[in-house]
Amino acid sequence: MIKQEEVVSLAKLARLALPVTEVEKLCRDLESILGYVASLKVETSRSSVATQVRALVDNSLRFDIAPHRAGIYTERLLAASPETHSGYFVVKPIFTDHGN
Amino acid sequence: MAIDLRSLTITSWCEQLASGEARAIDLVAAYQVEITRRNGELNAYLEVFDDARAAAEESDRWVAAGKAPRPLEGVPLAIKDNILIEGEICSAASKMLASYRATYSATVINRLRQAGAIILGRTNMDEFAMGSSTENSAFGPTRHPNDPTRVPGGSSGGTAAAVAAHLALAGLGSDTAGSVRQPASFCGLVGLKPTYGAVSRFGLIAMASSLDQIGPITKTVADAEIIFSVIRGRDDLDATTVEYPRPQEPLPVVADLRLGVPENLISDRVSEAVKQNFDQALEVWRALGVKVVPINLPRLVDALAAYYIISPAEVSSNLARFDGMRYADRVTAPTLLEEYERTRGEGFGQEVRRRIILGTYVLSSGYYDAYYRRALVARAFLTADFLDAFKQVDAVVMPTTPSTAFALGEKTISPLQMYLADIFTVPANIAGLPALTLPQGEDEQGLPCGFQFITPLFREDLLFYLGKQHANLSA
Repeated sequence: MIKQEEVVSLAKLARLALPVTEVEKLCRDLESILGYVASLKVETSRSSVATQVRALVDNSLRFDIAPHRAGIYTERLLAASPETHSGYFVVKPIFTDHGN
Repeated sequence: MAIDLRSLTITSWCEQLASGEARAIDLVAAYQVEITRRNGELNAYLEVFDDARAAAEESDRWVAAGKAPRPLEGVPLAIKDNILIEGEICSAASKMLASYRATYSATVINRLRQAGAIILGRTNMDEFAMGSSTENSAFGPTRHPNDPTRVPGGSSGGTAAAVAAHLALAGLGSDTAGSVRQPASFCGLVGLKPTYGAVSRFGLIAMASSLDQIGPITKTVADAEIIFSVIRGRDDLDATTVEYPRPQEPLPVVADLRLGVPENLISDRVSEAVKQNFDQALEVWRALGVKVVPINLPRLVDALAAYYIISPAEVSSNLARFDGMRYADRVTAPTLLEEYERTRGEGFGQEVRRRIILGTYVLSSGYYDAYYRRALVARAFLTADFLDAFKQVDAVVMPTTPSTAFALGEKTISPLQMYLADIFTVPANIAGLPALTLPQGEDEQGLPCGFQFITPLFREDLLFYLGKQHANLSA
């Protein structure tokens, strides 16, 4: 059973303000979806996972070089932001000076 | 000259163009008239671009100058609203990105334009591609062209409705669990989900990165093949793409074909009409001497459950970037954390919020082993099952969807019921395999059913071959 406190805590982790009216419905929805996905009955020992997943993955890496000249997209990217200042995105300060 | 949009295909358009009988400007104008006439009712397009006529004139100049027509010369296309087109709004049908203008174009858009294609506009979808009905759009649902009380499928429902209603000659969607094939099937069209790694996703707004692929929605298999041949191949800007391999094996003659039917999945999960049409198609194949054999894919039933763990996990990670700092609108609040929370809470719709919470749950400490790790194992086993199956058969065949197009609102109450609409399409995404849907009969209300082929990795050539044979059988 998914509790309302759990959903509220998950929303906090996901940085998501949920309407209060939605929490109860989300509990029911999660309960039903997780009930369905719990039908997965597979061997999950770590070695089995590693072998199976490794067999599937063929990593493709590229050289760690700049894909384009620095700065050519800066203005366009900044233009998409709600607030900028002198070529930077503006965000609220994380630390305040209340302690000083 | 008058253009019959109903019978027009990319192939027939290219023939008209080559014979000097047609101009792209007339074709674009004809589609714009139809869009004006029907889009108010269907809501297939979120926006029609002003520059389509200029692009058509440029295409006409190219041909008039005596240059050889390119593969998609003057072909007007509808593009799903999660594929970036530089300078245009790309909202993923979300309030979160309602005013976001793309700063660059997706690789597929550049390739289409280099091949002569014209982009008519951006089409409606389920928000961030999460849904199977196009009802989860922040800009209202899209309606089925044959019956406006029904859904066109989703999440690429806007593109499918546009092509089916003759508001575009073809289009692009993205397929994470069936989002190209399911709406194509509902609307009586052809839809391709390419092999994972065959088509660049650079410039596609990511939903679940281990599953997403861009694919065409068209009227014929030959048209899907033309678009695929233009957009496929390695892209340095998407590390998951590879150089598309040349076919290693010749195509089999029809009488040597073996088609595998996973009866364990199909048996009691489809409507009577879907089953009848599917069985009828198998009978026709058998009459041609094709071996239609039952195959055992024991883990196939796990695909959807694994999907609804893996996909929300990736969604919760991919959508973390939408916090109101770099894109679109921000809800101001006293602290930075509250700004994040309120921007995301108000910007994302209900289904997106549900999947982010679900993804956060399955990845959280204590549940990771119980859900995410288990899903990864199921995914590996399912892929191994398919590889085994392809030792016995050339292709796996299934209905594309359990039912025909359902009514608006019919499945919005229960998310699980909506998710089950993807049960036959999701296995190809989980295993990374290519899959093609094409029309196969209708139900008693005249709504189309779909027939789906799944082939080994990078065997799109075999898919197109089978699809063309199948279309001839049905004709």
